[in-house]
Amino acid sequence: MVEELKESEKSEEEILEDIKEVVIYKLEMFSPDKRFSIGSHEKGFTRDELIEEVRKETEIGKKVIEVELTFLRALKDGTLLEEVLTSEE
Amino acid sequence: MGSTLLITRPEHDVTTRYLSKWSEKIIQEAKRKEKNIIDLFRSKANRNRIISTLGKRGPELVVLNGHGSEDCVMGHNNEIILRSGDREAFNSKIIFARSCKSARRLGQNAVNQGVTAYLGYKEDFWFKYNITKISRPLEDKTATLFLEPSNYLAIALLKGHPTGYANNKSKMLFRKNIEKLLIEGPLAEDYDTIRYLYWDMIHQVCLGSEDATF
Repeated sequence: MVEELKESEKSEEEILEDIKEVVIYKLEMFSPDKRFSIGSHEKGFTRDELIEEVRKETEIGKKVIEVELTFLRALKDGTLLEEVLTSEE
Repeated sequence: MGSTLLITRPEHDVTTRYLSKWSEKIIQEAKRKEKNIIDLFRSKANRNRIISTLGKRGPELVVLNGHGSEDCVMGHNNEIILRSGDREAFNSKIIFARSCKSARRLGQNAVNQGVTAYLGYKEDFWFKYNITKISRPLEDKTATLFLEPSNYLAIALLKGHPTGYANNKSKMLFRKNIEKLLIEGPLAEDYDTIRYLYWDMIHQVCLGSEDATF
């Protein structure tokens, strides 16, 4: 109950910091020998470069967060599983 | 004279090189189906060439590879080759743009101005690649997870399937890859790509007619 109260008292800034930490934690698990092609960025990004983009909240960083949140929501509400289970030959 | 495929294959960075190499499979399928092919490779993927070819010949299927935005698709060295205002270029039947975000405005405008169907992405198109495979993109198993499903969109059209079916079949291949990784579990090498496969899949759209065929 106290924890719940504390959660609800968090400011938007604090929530964003929490989300960034989750996203960075996930990115840290990615393989370092892969790069990401995103949008019109010619060089692409390594895992560590993406982490830096998230930390600095750049446009790319915000996009990484958006992708992660979209994925987590799909996991939470069952959309992802539903999509996979309904795939047809 | 048979129907014509126009395909752009800029090659000025790693992303466009991957898209270009994977597009060779599309060209192979077009050859198998005995289609006329206009392959605008590297510097040929420029605005003058695209606009004049689309205006004059009106190829029935156009596949655009390259960087993009809500209002445009780019060619070699990121020259804008097609933008929302290019009314004279929108007399093709089907356009598939493998580029970021162009389905948002360019695609809708193209359909409003005469293109029967526009297939593409409403958001950034992500893919992940292995830096040790840059010289051999077709052997990159990580990139394959993304580029095989998106490639299939064009291949299904070449096989004569309708636009809506091609889009759905392509999405099904994205789903299959997600399913495979979920089954393999967190220790799978590319388990972390699930979120990006899901992103590409949900933002791949077919605007206009879902019944158009090549």
